[in-house]
Amino acid sequence: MSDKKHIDRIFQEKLKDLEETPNAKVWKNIQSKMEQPKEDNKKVFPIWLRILSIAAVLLLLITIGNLYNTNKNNTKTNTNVVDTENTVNTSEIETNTTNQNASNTTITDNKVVDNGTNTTHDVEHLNNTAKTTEENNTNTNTNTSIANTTTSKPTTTKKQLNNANANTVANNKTYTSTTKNKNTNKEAAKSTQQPTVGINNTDTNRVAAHTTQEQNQEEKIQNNTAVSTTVSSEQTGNNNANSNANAVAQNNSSNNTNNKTAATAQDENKTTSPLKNNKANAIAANTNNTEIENTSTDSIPTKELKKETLSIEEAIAKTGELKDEEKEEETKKLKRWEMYANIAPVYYNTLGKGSHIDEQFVNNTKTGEINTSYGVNVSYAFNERLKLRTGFNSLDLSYDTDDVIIYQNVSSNSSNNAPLKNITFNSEQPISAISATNLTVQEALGILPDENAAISQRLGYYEVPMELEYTISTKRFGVNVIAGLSTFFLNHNKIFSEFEGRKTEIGEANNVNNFSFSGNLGFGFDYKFSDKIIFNAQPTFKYQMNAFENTSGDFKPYIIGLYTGLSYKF
Amino acid sequence: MSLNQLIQNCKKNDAQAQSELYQLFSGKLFSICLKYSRNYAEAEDNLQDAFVTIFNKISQFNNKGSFEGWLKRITINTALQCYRNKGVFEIVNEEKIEDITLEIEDDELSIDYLLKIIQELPDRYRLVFNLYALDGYSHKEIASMLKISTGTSKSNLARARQILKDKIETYRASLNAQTL
Repeated sequence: MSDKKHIDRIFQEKLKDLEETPNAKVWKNIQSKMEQPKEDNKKVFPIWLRILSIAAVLLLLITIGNLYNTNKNNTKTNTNVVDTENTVNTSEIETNTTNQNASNTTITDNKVVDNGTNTTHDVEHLNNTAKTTEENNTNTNTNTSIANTTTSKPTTTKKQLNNANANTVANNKTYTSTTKNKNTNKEAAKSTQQPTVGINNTDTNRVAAHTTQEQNQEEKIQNNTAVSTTVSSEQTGNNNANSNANAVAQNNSSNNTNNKTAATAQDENKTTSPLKNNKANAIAANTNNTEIENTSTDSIPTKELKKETLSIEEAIAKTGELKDEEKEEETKKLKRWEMYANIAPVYYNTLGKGSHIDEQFVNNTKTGEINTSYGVNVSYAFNERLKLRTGFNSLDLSYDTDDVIIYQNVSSNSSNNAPLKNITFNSEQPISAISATNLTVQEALGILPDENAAISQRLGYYEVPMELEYTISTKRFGVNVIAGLSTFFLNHNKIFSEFEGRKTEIGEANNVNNFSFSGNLGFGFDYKFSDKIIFNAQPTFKYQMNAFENTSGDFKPYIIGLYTGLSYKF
Repeated sequence: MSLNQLIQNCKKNDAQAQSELYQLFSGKLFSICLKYSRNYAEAEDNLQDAFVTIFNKISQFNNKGSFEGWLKRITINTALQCYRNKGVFEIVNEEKIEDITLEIEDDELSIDYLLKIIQELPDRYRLVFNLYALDGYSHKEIASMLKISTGTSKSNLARARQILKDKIETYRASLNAQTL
C-alpha cells in the first residue's frame, strides 16, 4: 500500500498481460470481408469473352444506326401521304384561325373545311388519273374551290393574303376597310383565274415563273399595304397570282414526287428559319406550292406554326415507319443469316435421387443454384421456317449437396469416415466429411450448425450447341420450337465446402468428363423490332447425358435456361 | 505448424491458415485495440479492420523483424487511422504543463478499471499516452505518427497522466468513503 510508483509503470505492469478474446462475430466479419474480393476475382470474364461482348455491342449499335438512317431516307420519298395529311391538318388549323378571327362565320368555316378536303380528294384523283383532260377538269374544280376559300374568307374581315401582309405590318385594322373591295375584286378575278389555270396545268415551267412573279408581287404588296388605297388594285393581281400558284401546287403535288421531296426539305427549312420574317415565309410557302399551306403559314400565329410543323414531321415519321414495315415483309425472305448475342439465367439440378460425389450423400437434399450463361450464336435459314444454328456459350453451373460437414482429420485412424470417392482434395491433410443423413437426430443437432453446411460444386463449361429451329409463327411475335444437341467442354471444376455462409475450396471433382453432351429442347419467342433486329426469349431444357462418370444412385443432371438476347439478320 | 509455415499459407490466402493466425494473435491485438479505442465496440471494429489489413498485406511481410511487432504496428496504425480520418488531431493545444512525474500508490487497481479510464481519456491524450507510456514510442515518433509537434505530444502526455492520476485518486477516495 505504501510504495509509490510512477503512473506509467502501473499501467505498463497491469496492462502488459492484457489479452482479451474478441467476440466471435469479429472473426465472421473478417471472413466475409476477405471472401468478397476472392469471389469477385472468379467472376472476371476471360479476355476473349470481353472482346466478343464488345464486338456484339458494336454490332448492335451499327445495326441500330443503319436502321435509323434507312428510316430517314424513306421519309424523303414517302411524302405523298404527308402532303395529303398536311392539307387536312392545315385545313383544320384554318378553321381554328377563322374561329379566332371572327365570331359570326360558322358557315364560312364549313366551307373552308370542305374546300380543304376537296383539294385532297382532287389530289388523289390526280394521282390516279393520267388523262390530261381529267386533270384539267379537276384542276379547274380545285381552283374554283380555292377561289371560294379566298372569297369566303374575306367575310371574316381578314383575307389570307392580307394576313400575310398584316403580320409583317402588324396592323390588321387598316385592311378592314379594303376587304369588301377585295371581295368584289376576287369575284371578278375568279372568272379570269380559270383560263389561266388551264395554261398553268400544261406547263410547269411557267409555273415556276409565276411563283417568282408572285413573290415579287407579294413583296410589292407588303411595301404598299401601308397605303390603304392602293391595296385594292394590286390585290386583284395578287389574287390571280395566288390562285395560279394554287393550280401549280396541285399539279406539282400530284404529278411530281421529286417536287414533294423538295417541299419536305423546305418544310424542314421552315422549322429552322426564323418565323418572324414573313417574306421568308411567303417565299418558302410559295415554293411549297400548296395553297393551303400558304394561307396557314401566313395567317396562323407563330406558335401554331411550330405546332403544325411538328405535326408534319410526326406525320413524316409515321408514314416512314409504315413504309418500312411494308418493305420488311417484302425483303424478309432474302436474309438467311442471323447472329444472336444471348445471356441466360440457368438453373442446374438433377432428376433422380443420386449424388455425383459419394454414395453417402445419395439421400441428402440437394439444391441447384441459378447461374449465368452467355455467348453468341449464328443461324442459317434453309427456308422461311427452318433454321440450323450453332454458336459458342460460356456456362457456369453450381450445385449444392446439403447437410454435409467437411472437416480436417487430426488423427488418421478414423476409418469410418472415408474420404469422398469422387473428389481429389487440394490439401495433403486428410479431409473427412459427415453427412447429416447418416447421423442420428441427436448427433446431427450437436454437430450441425444452424446455418447451411454443404458441399458446393462449381462447374464451368464452354458449350457448342447444334440445333434446329422450326418457326411456327412468322408474325411480328414469332414462336419457334428448338431441338438439338450441345457439346460441353469442361472449363473449370471446383468443389467448395460451405459452412456457415463461408466457402472454402477443398478440391475438384475427379469424375467430371471433359467432353459431354446434352439433348436440348426449347421454345423460342421472338419479337421483331425490324427486319434486322429481333428480340428472343427461349426457355430451353438441356438434359446432360455423360457429364459425370461413376455417380452414385440415380443422378441425372439437367439445365434449364431462359436464353434471352438480340439477334441481327443479314 | 510453425509460425513461418502459417505465414506462408496465409500469403496463399488459405482460409484455414488465416483462421489459425487469428486464433493466435487476436487476443493480444484486441487488447491493443481496447487501449486505443473509446469503447469495446470501437475496439472490435478496429480489430476487424486490422485483420483485414493484415491478411491483405501479409505478402508484404518479409521476415524482417518480429512478426508480432509487425502485427502490432498494423493494429496501432489502424486504430490511429480511425482518428486521423475524424480529424481529431487538427486541434492544436500547446498549453505548457510541467512534465512532473506523478507517483501514486500501487495497490490492487483492476485491469478493467485502468482500461476504462484510459478509454475515457480524450482521444488525443489517450493515443499519446498509449503510444508513449505503454508501447514505448518516443515523442519524436509519436509526433510524426500523429502529425503533431513533439511539444504537443509532450503536453498531451502530461495532461493524460494528470487526468489519469486525478481519476485514480477520486476513485480511491470513493472506495475509502464506502468502506468507512
